Amino acid sequence: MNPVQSSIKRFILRLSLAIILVLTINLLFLGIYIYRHQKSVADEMAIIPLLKQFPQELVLRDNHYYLDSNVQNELDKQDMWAMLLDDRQGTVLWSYKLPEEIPTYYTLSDIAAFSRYYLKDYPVSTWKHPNGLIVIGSPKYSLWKIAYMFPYSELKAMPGRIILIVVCDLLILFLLYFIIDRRSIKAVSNVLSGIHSLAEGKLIRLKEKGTFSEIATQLNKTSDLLKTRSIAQENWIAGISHDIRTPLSIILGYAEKIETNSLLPKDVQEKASLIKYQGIRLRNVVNDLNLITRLGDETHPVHQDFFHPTVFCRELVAEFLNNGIPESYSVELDIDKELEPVKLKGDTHLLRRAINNLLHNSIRHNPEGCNISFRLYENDKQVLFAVSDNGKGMTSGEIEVLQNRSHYLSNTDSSFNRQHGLGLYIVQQIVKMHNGDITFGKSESGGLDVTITLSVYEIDKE
Amino acid sequence: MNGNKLDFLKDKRLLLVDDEPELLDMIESILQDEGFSSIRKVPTRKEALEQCRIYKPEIAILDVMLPDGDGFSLFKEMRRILDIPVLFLTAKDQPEDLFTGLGLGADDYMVKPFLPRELILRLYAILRRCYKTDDSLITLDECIIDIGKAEVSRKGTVFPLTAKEVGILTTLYKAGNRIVTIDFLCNSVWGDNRYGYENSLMAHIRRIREKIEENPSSPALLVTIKGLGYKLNV
Repeated sequence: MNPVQSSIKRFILRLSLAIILVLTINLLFLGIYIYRHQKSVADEMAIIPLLKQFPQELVLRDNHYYLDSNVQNELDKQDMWAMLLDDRQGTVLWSYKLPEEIPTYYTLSDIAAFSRYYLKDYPVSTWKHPNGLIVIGSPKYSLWKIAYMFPYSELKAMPGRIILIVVCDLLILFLLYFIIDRRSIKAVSNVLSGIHSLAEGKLIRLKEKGTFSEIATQLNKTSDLLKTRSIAQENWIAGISHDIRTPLSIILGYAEKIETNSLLPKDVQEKASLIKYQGIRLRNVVNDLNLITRLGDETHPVHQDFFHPTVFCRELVAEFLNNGIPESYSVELDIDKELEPVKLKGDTHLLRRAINNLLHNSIRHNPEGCNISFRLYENDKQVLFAVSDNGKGMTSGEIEVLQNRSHYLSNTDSSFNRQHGLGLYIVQQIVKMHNGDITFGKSESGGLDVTITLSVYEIDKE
Repeated sequence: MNGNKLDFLKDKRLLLVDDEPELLDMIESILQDEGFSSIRKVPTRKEALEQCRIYKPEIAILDVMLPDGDGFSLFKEMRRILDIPVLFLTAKDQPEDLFTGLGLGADDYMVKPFLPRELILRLYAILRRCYKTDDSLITLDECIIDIGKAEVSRKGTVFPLTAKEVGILTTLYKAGNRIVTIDFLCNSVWGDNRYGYENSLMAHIRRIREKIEENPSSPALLVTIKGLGYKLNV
C-alpha cells in the first residue's frame, strides 16, 4: 500500500472513531436528560401527581368542598389555581384562586378545547373527580402543551429510519471530506513521493504550491543541499586525485630511474623497485577514485558504441601483456570462435577498465604468482567474460559479501573493503551500467572466478 | 630495446611543456638516460610558442593545464607554426579530455601518473611512425630487412618480399617487441574487413618466417602469441 492510501485509511478510521465518540456522548446526555425529566415528572411537585391527589383531598362535606391544606400549599407554591366542574351542568362547583377572566360555565366543546390546549392562555390540566372534573391552571406561559397524533405504522418504522439517516449523514460526511480534501491529498502525495525519492538518494524538484508548499520548499532545499554535497564530494575527490598525479609521476619516475641504475648497490635498487610498486598501487587508487565518482553520478552520459567482444578482448590482453607482467604470472586467452561476428553495445573505455581491474586483482591477491585464464564464450544469447585464476581464491563468505554489497561508501565492513575495495566495486558498477550480470565464485583450481555477462546486441551478416 | 637501429630517433629535438619544474627535470633526466640529446623544457605556453620558432622541435610533450592557457589551444597554435607530432601528458583523465586531445589530432594522450618506461615506449612509437628509418632498413638478429627494396638478406642470401609481407613486417616493426593483435594486423594490411583473412595472414606469416628465421618451425624473431596475435623481437 502506498503512503497516501494508508494515510487515507488512517484518516477514515479516526473520523469514524470521532463520530462514534460524539454519538455516544450525545446519547449519554440524552439519557441523563430523560432520566432527570422522568424524575421531575414523578416528583410530588409535578402536576400529574398533584392532580391525582384531588379525588381524595377535595372532599364534599356539608355542601362544602374542603381542600387539604398540603395540596393548597402546593398550589400556592406553584402559583396555580383550581376548579371543580359539574359533569352535567358545566358549572363551577368549587374553585380556588380562580383568575377573574376565567368563565364559570363551560359547554362540552369548551371542555374539549381547553383540555387539549389552553384556557384563556392558561395551560390547564384535568383530572377525574367523583363529583365532576378537576381543572388546575398553571401561570400563563409556564407550560407548553402539544397535542400530537402519530400513525402507529410510522412509529414502528422509526428505528430503521433513524439508522438510515445516520448512514446518510456518514456518507455525506465522507463525501464532503473527499471533495474538500482531495487537493490536500494530492499535495500530500506529492510531498510523500518527494520524501520517498530523497530517501532513495534521488534529487527532487517539487511544485511549491498548495497546502504543503512550505514543506515542499524545505524538501527542495534539502535536495539542493544533497546535490551540492555530492558535487562538492566529487570536486574534492577530483581535486585531490589531480593534485596527487604530478608528484606521483615524479616519484615513479625517479624510483624507476634508481631501480634500473646498475651502478647502484643491489639493495638500493630493490628498495626503489618497492617504492615504484607502491607508487603504482597509489596510481591505481587515484584512477579508481576519480572513476568512482563519475560512475555514481547518473548525470554523466555513457558513451555506448558497438564493438566486437573478440577484437576487444584480444586488444585488451595484448595491451595487458605488452605493459609487462612479472615472470610468475601468465595470462591465457580463450575465445569461442562462434563469437567472432557477435557485437555488443557498451562503453569500451569502461569495460576495458573493468576487465583490467579483474586481471590486476588476480595478480595483486596472489603475490606468489598464478595463471590467469580469460575465457570469452556464448551462452543463450549472452556473452560471458570469465576471468579466473588458480590462486588462493576467496571464502564463500567473502564471495557472498562481494555479491551483495550495495555501495562502497555505505559498506561498514571496512577491513574487507580495504582488501577488495574500489577495484571490484568499480567492476560491479560498470557491469550494472551495462545492464549486465557479474558473479563471483570459485574456479576449478580453487582460485577466484569472476564472470561478467552481457547481452548480445547484434550479429554481423557475412 | 636493441640500440643502434633507433639511434637516429634519439637525435630528434624534443620540447617539454609543463608547469611543474620538478616534473620537467624528471622527464628530462629519464630521456637523457635513454639517450635523447636535445631536450628543451619550458613552463609556459608563451615560451613554448617562442621555442617553436627558435628551436624548431621535432616532437613535443605537452601538459594540458598551463599557467597562461590550456594545452589544447597551445597545440592548435603550434601546429600552425610546425607540423610535428605531439603527445599530451596530463593530469586530466576524463574521457572528454582524451577525446578532445586525440580529436585535435594529437598523436597520443597519456594520463599522469605514468611510468618512465611507458612514456619512452610511446615516444618511440610516435617517432617511428612519424620519422621513417632513414635507410628503411630493419636490422634483426642475423637478418636485415630492406623495406624500401622489399627484400630480406640472411647469411648472404637475399629473399624477395611481397607487398603484403612488407606491410605485415612494417606493422610489426612499428610496434617493436609489443604484441600486435590479429585484428590490428588484418586491418592494417587488408583494410576494415577482418573476416576470412585470418588464414591468409597465417600463410603470410609462415612465408615471412621461412625468409627471416633460422629455424622457421620454432621461430625466434616473429613469434606467435596464442589466441592474440604476433610479436616481432627487434
